[in-house]
Amino acid sequence: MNRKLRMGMVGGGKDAFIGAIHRFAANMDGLIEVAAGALSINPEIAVDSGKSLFLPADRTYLTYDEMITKEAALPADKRIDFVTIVTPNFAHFAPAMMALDHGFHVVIEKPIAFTLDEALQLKKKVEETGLILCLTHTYSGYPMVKQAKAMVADGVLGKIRKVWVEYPQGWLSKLSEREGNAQAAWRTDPKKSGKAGCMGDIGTHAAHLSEYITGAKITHLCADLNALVPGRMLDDDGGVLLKFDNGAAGVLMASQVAAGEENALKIRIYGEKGGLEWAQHEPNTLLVKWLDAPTQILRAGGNYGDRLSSYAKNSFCKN
Amino acid sequence: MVIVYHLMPKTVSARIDGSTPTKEELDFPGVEDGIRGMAFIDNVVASAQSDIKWTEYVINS
Ligand SMILES: NC(=O)c1ccc[n+]([C@@H]2O[C@H](COP(=O)([O-])OP(=O)(O)OC[C@H]3O[C@@H](n4cnc5c(N)ncnc54)[C@H](O)[C@@H]3O)[C@@H](O)[C@H]2O)c1
Repeated sequence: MNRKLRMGMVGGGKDAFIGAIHRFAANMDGLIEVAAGALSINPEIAVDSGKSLFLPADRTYLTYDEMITKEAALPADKRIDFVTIVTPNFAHFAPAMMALDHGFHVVIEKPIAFTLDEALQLKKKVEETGLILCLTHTYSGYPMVKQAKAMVADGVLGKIRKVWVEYPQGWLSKLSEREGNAQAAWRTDPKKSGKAGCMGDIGTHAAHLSEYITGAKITHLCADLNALVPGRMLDDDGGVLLKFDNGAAGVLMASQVAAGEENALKIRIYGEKGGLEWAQHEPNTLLVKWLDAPTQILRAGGNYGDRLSSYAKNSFCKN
Repeated sequence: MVIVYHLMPKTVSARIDGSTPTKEELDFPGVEDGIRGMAFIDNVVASAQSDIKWTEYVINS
């Protein structure tokens, strides 16, 4: 490839949280440039945000519809290669379908859509068009998470018996959705977030991580959901017992009212011979615990001969 | 996030160049993971509303 890939962003303006992190990440390897954007639902913010990213005025669009239509009409050496969608959940499906229909690959935030039915339609569209869709369940991209997956697949721990995954956050401990917090407002609104609040927002990350590392699929669950802050319309806390298709038992807890916690995702997996522990607060470390030997601390980039998979050996997580 | 934006462009570039991405480069979540995420939400909500202890994890359209 002799050039950068051109990205068009939907959402992620000055009024947004995660869009800037996508741009930061996209910049890191120097493989991508932001070439166009429909950066906000608010036209003034869209224009203003385009200016601060030094986007040309004619590629700062007011709606995703305009962006996708006009970009598709540009010559191939100019138009965007893919669309990144970083809008609230209810506004994922329409731009994603439209982007695929116009021949653009898609990067899309989790949860993929507002309903399961929309997700199934997206699958059909991806298959029809043969285009790439990348869903940003970002935790599965961490080097030491990939290392954990490789160790489980290699049978290092023996048969997997137990999965504990916890995801406490504290930022919804107050009724912030009534105090002008935009991120809280749509996340706690069933018309914008979806059927679930906390379980959709971060429970899905925890479930994905547990299936990614173990390579097993959840087959049964027993859930308790709570809206613990009075006046809240969707769950802000919950616990789920899990059973996996390899016979393992699991516990998943997610909460956004764990006052004082930041983003304390942690997973522990135990097999017959030992266990693994990975935490997002210390992402370059993987603890390996043994039934009959002292605990090991593996670090991303560590010079341990062949003990690390090539990915964990060669990359160190910066974000 | 950095890694997602490392793997995904390699795969897109391979498409443009006509080359084959490696297995490692293809190891990012996609639409199947998205479907499981939406099914997880549906199943968790169904279970929380039910008095039956175990809910089978189904993908119902
Ligand atoms: N992967 C992760 O770890 C992670 C972390 C945070 C958020 N997210 C996901 O990212 C998405 C956005 O979350 P956020 O916290 O950044 O939200 P946000 O409210 O901060 O930002 C949403 C942005 O989308 C814009 N927008 C809304 N509707 C639009 C439309 N129709 N066209 C163009 N722009 C539109 C808004 O103006 C704003 O710029 C959500 O789906 C969320 O679940 C994922």
